[in-house]
Amino acid sequence: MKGSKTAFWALALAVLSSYTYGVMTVGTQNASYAYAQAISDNSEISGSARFIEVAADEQHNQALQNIIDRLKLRANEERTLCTISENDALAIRDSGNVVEQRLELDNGEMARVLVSDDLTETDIRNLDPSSNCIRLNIFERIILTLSSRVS
Amino acid sequence: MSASTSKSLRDSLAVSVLYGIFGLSLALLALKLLGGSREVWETYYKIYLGIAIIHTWYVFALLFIGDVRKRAYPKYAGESMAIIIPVYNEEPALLEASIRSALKADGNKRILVIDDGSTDPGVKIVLSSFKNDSRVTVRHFERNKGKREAIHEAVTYLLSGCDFVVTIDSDTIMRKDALIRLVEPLKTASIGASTGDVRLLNEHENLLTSMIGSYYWSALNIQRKANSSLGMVDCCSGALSAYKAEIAEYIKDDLVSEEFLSKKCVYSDDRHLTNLVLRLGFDVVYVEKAIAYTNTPSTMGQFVKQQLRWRRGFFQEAIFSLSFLWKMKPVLFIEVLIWDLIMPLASVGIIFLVFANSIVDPAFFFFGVVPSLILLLVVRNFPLVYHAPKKIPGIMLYTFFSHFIMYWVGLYALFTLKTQRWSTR
Repeated sequence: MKGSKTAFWALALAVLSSYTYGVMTVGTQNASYAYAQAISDNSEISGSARFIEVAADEQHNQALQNIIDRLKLRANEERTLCTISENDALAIRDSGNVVEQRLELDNGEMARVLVSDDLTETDIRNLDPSSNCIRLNIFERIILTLSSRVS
Repeated sequence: MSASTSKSLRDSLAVSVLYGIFGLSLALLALKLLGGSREVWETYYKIYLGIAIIHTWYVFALLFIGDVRKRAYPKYAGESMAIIIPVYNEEPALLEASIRSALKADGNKRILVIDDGSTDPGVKIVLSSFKNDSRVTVRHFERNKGKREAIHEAVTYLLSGCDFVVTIDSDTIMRKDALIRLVEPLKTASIGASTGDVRLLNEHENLLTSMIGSYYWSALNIQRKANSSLGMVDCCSGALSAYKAEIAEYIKDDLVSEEFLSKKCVYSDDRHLTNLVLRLGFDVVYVEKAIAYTNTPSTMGQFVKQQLRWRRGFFQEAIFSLSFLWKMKPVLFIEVLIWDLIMPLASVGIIFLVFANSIVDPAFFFFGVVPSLILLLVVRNFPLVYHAPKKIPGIMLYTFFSHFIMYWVGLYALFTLKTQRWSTR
């Protein structure tokens, strides 16, 4: 009986600690995503590459993650434009089912964004036309889509 | 200024502050949607998460204290009990079963039935069948006056010579040892009231009752049990509660004279009785070995009506309790103020956003909300997951039901606090 009680409290402590750690981590992560999103809302046009192609196999997930990491880093450190380099895009292209979305930027230039065909029209409309970045919440969705495909 | 006017002003002020918190939360949401300061929303969201985490640890800490420092109560030694059963148009078969279960229960007792103006002839037939039983006293009201008046009548005119008063509902069926287990804590000088484990007679009737059964288990064996470790249970269930007789006599007039926003209170008799005991400085405890069964509404409409009535009473009594808890039970004061009153209203912006996003975006619901709620369910109801795994499906359903329906019922209750409809049993 005593052993059962000890097991219960040990397990409860483990569950509570993991929950607290998880909530704090995810909460912070979401905050930095939101920050990068806000930065992209106010960004100007960059001359570098401005498209993302979504991969559908596991080896490309890491490349996507690298992009997100770089976006977060840049958003946090430079507080300027968050863009995706052409090299990044090349690293994850060759994926198969993608659609291309053209967005007219404020200066009349066209930006090209390739997104997963699993995304809805609403998602595409949510892409910010004043920037050449895909909003990071869309990125999270892409990752989710990829994860489910891979598994 | 009279005491009544002064109380009414205090109540109005408290309700206004709650409305203000609600408005502030919505204003923050509007600010976010209109592209306002990101830092403000993030800070607000982090405070919300922080309080939710602290509250989870707090509940588990209380449970841990209760577990390692178990209270030991003196054994029952034949003290006399008065069992009060207020009745209003109860289903006759249930009423009879309830009175018979009280008669069969162990302990030196007599039963006081107050027929609160029932019009159902079946009730009269059942009550007349006990007229030759000296252990049962029945008193009839000409018209329906409400449960508070019924308890007041019993305590005032029928209580003499009793050590303890037990109140049960007219559909409560108790286990044989429920009464003696329930009153044993009252032999301790510092304890003024106790309440038992109330389970459902009709838990397996349908999906709704199964869900409510799991919710009862969680509310009693997690939240109420946690509060009991510091003697600060804030509601003795109307279905099975006991009070020291001298305390019941002392507080009986306050039970019927309570006003809220200048209107006489007719619901939440159980919460108010508990508050009156806490206000006198006594501990109130939960006794998990005192077990009784009762019915719950089996249709959604009835359940929502019941919850609406309970939640109005909850707000009213939570506000009342703030006036004395700060000196009598400071820990409970902080819990009631922050967790019971402020948090549900301060979180409306966040919950509204989640709710709206879930409707317009099913992916967000399935990949974001569902996993989060399941995680929340497992963590906050961990004792249920561990000790009563059969109730997991029910509590899982209730978690969603609570966030997507009952939360809004609670808000509606707050904005209709003066309404007296559905206020009697």
